[in-house]
Amino acid sequence: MEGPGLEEDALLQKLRNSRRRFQRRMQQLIEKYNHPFEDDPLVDLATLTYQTPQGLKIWGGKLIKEGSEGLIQVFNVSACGPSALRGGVLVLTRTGCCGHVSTESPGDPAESTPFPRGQDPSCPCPAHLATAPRNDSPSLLGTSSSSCVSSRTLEADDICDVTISDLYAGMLHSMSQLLSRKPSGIISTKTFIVQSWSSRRRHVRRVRAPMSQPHGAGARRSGRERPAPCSEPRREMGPLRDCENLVHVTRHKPGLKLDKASLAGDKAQMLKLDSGCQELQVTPRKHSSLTSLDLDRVHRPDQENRLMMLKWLISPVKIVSRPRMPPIQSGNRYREIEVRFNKLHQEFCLSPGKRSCPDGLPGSWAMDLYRGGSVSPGGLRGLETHRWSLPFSKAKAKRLREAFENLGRISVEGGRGTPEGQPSPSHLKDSPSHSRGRSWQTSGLFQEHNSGTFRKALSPSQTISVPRIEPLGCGRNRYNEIKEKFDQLHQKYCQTSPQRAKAPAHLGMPSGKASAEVQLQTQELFGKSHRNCLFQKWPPSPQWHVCGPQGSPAAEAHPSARSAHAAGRDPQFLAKRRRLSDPQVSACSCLSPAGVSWWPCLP
Amino acid sequence: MGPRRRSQPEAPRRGPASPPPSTPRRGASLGSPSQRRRNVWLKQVKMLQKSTDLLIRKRSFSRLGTPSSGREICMKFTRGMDFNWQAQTLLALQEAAEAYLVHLFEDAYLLSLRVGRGTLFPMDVQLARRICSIEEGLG
Repeated sequence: MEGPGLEEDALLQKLRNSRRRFQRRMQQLIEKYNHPFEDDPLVDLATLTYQTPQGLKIWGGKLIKEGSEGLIQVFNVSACGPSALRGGVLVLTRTGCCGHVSTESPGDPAESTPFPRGQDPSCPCPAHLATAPRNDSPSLLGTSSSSCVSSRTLEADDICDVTISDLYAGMLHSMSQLLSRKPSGIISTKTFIVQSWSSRRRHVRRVRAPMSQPHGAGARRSGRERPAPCSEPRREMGPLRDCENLVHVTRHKPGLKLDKASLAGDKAQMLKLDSGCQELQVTPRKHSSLTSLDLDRVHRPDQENRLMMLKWLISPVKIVSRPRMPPIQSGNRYREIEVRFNKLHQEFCLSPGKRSCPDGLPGSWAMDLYRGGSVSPGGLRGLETHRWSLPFSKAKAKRLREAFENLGRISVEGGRGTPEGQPSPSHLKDSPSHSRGRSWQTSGLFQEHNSGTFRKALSPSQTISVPRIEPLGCGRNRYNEIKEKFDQLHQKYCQTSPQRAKAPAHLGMPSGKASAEVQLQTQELFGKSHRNCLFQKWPPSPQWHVCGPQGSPAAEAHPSARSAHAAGRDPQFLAKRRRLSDPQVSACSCLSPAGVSWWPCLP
Repeated sequence: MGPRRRSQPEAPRRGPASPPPSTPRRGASLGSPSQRRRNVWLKQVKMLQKSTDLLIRKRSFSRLGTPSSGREICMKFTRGMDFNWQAQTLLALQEAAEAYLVHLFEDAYLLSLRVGRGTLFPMDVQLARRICSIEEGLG
């Protein structure tokens, strides 16, 4: 009897020992896990996954997603027969394909079975499977846990994988599509304007505006648009600094379907452009392109042009080289202008009969400057400077021509044309940036003038070009050099042929008028330091006061005497600008506006 | 848990000791496989008693708190809220559970040995649970 008792005691003793061991073990576990684990990964119990530096991992399994892969949803197999506890996981990818992922560790003897027996692996979801809906993950995110919920993180990873380069291409594509719906002429980009101008030049050429027409924008419209009211171009050709003018103008265009919203949107672009460039130079051209645009009829630039334009819009600072510029058209235009200029120049130069041909004066300023500009397209393929001529309105071209003619006349009268004067224009021709040099020359020449109109006429050629790199001092230096040379030549000429100076006195109206203008110009051009010799040596008086179309000699003689007396009396007085009260100046003011509208009579 | 002291025989003995190999018995061919199986079990037991790693698969154990199982554990402790659990939490639970199971199986096997069996029956486990319940001093 003691045996069973002993056995029971033994049993009890063993049970107590087991219990003690168990208690000791539990105490150890409590001590081991009784502190916070701050960097511990969080396991989503819905999917039993947690994020690791390598990627998404199944708890107790292997890596299921590295970086940004397709989203994988893990569904638990609740009770699938004998494989309930085998760790088999039914995995659904984003595309809905079913697959089975072995989630067991490599050393696990209980490897996951492919599928429960009797189940079709290809079936999307067995009926008894309890799938975890995706909307569970947001609820999990509602917790304060910092772990990535699989679906949410995978989506975020997918989004984060998009780079700017991908977005850029898509943006360009979408913008091109957007622009295709809107009239492309609204967006006033230089690239677009230049590129579109060439295609529309054929239509424009049909409309040859007469020289007397001051506003080239109206003239450059297509023939169909020509009957449009002339007041609008004139209104437009005013200071078109404000884009509202464009809106107002374009509304009245029958052929244009421009939305105000798009214009307003483009206004921002135009203002942006204006900030970088000069406004006036941009807007007139813009306007010309707009007015000449017949968006319903004119062939639009193709997709590549739009993309170029978009690229320019996106990076307006970038200088976009014109990819396509029909050389023939630009060359034709230049040739045309050159021919007309030569013709006019010859007309005025040869009429006195004693002036040498402009061709014989290689150093002629006007010719060389003009030719230097006309030669530009060949040398400026990669620049935007040659675009000055393309959208250049006829009125402006006319003004420019007149200015150059006057300059040429000055050179002819002063006997210029020394080789010294040549290098600069030739240098302009040769240098790849000769247009810039030319523009600088012209700007240097007329820099002191406040003739806004003339500057407007000239400035498109300058400002459309690449932003000036040369400092302003270079232009001034150049201007001074030219001034000095001119003075020297003029002195020489006046000394050698004083009689020749009187010949222009008998010129008809145009020459006299031009000479009067020249007088004004020279006064303005060559400052105080040279005014003494200028007015002493130069006999401007016969040409000075040809106010009426007839230009009576008596009137000529009288002012000549007066001016000669004034010159001898007080060089300083003559060096100053003539006042408006001065009869000579007032006589000049009565000149026809067509000739000198751009050259105001200064006080 | 540290390595357990062997307070019990290594392997349950089904019957009398095997006859010496000098006397070949009938079914010696069967004996050798049985001996081999016994040896395999012994080795496995020794190996498991020496190791300290978790014996239940982590994924299998963690599925006890997943929706498929009704979220018993999760819902019980989180009052219906779905939380993300820390990995150490799951490990702690698993270790505690394994320790308890080991203790339970030990007690059940003692009871089965008490009655002279070498096979663990469910009634042994039930008896052990009754004896080792909280009311009986488990805590």
